[in-house]
Amino acid sequence: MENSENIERLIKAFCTDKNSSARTTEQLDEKILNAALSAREEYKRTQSAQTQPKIWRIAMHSKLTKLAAAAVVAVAVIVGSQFLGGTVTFAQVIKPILNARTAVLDYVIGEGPDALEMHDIVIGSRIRRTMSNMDMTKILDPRVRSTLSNMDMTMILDLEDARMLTLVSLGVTKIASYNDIQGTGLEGTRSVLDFVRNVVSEVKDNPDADIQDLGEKEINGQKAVGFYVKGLNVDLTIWANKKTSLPIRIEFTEGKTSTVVIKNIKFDVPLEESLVSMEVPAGYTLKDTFIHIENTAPDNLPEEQLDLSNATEEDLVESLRIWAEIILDGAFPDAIGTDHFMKQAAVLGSKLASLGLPLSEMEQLCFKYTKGMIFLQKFEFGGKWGYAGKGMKLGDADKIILWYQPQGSNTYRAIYGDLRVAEVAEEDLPK
Amino acid sequence: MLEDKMLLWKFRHGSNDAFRHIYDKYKNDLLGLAIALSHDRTAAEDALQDVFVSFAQRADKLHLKTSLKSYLSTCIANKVRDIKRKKSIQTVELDQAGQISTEDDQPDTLVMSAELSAQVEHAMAQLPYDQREVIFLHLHSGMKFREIAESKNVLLNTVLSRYRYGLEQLRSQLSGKVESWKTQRISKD
Repeated sequence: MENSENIERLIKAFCTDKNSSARTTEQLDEKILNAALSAREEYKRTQSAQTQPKIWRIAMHSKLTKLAAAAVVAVAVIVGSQFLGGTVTFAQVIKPILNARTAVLDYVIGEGPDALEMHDIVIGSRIRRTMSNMDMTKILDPRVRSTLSNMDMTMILDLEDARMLTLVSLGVTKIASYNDIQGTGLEGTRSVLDFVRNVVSEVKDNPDADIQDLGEKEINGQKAVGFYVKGLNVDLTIWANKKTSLPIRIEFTEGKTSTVVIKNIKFDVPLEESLVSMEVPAGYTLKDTFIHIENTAPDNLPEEQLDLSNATEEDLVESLRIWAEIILDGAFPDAIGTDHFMKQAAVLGSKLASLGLPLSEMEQLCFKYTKGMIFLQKFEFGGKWGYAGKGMKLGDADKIILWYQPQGSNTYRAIYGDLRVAEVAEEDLPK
Repeated sequence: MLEDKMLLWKFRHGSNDAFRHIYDKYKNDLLGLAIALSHDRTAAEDALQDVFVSFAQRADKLHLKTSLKSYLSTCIANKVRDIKRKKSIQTVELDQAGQISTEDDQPDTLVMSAELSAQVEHAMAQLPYDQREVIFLHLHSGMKFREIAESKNVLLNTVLSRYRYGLEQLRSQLSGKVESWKTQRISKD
């Protein structure tokens, strides 16, 4: 009897053998490409037609059509009235999520009273984003605290062109800057609405999808019905108004990241396109890619160090070192992820200020800390990684605190408590 | 993976060249997978076309959790299953198995003899589709078991069981064949 490894080798050889002979012909290529690209065009035309009311208006010029339309409306009203007294379905609840062109929403990343809150105005593929609830109390340096407290920051994201316009206002100083948000940057600044859309799109046509009815509860004085959806690596809950079936609260947890709660949701509200204009507004001075607020962050870093696009594993290790050594006095954090990084950034600032480090050194450490987060984002959104640093101390040489699987690798890179890095097989990772 | 994401992004934003690039990159691997799963070149070509047409239509709504190759491989496996259901393709008989190879087969370039290849093909054809699918997605397309579980929306243990049962069945059917294959390779070298 053959052993399994030999059989695997034989099947692999069989696959290689078959693969070497499986070649498409030019005619087949042409046929498939034509069919696919024509289908794409047709799909785009259909989508576009759905948004055009012209045909409806033309049809309504006919008296006969008007009568027929009146009958249809009457039937719809009857059906609609019955529906309002009936059950709200998942399909009804996700309809505005999938189809709305504009939306206004707030979302909270993480939990607790100091959770960061984002406010998005979505128009097509553009977003106007502001943040609130940034915890300033931990910033000991009064100069830095005062500067940040008086600063207003707005980001306009153009997800199609992968660009971001940042507008910073500090008293009479108004600065604008453009940032490229391609690649990892785009993942980190993605649209929370698009994310939810993708999850519900995946499950809506899947007859095997795990969709659970959560029953009713009251949210902010409104009777709401809930649905739980298990997507790939995502747990999503949607609460919708029982009368209107419009979503009023959406919660999701993706992989190892914290829960995100979307609230104060309004779909298809009339909004001025100028809110998401990528033009620099009047009164703002356009600066280079990075913003430097006067008296808080002078331009004293070499240009190459300001490049966040080349973040590596070493940056992540350095970031963990800063986190453990400076922020948590020798301990590793209980959990990591973008939201945790962002929350701890303010603590890092206050710690560095209390240490009396020169500004240039503080700036370098903050930058290194951020670069590690950028590297982590490569895995945080869809990659295979894990964290087990809770309760561990810097120097725990025999314990793995973080691991991730590089693209195309069968093994994992593991970072130990003493911050050395080694290749590790999946079965040797912490459970 | 990043290259695929960029290609997908470009296609979503109107670049047909990006789509052609994706097609050229994966067409032969996917066709190979479809042939291996269906034992039918015509059905395999239909599956390839259906998958790319569907991919072109749904590209805007696609949220890749795995690599694009894994996604497309899973689509091929699903599509072959559909086509087999519709056309009621029968599992291949031993005397037909050797005739499935394509026009481009060149006997002197094959690693396996045509006879052994036919025997493996026959043995694979006897497996339930679920088991064959996992074996090919893993060994042919290089997908990890966890990826297969996620993309098929089944438990990891289910995937592992299907793989293990499949291999056990192959092992009993191909008893003695591996040794002769090894000997054949050594004598050829």
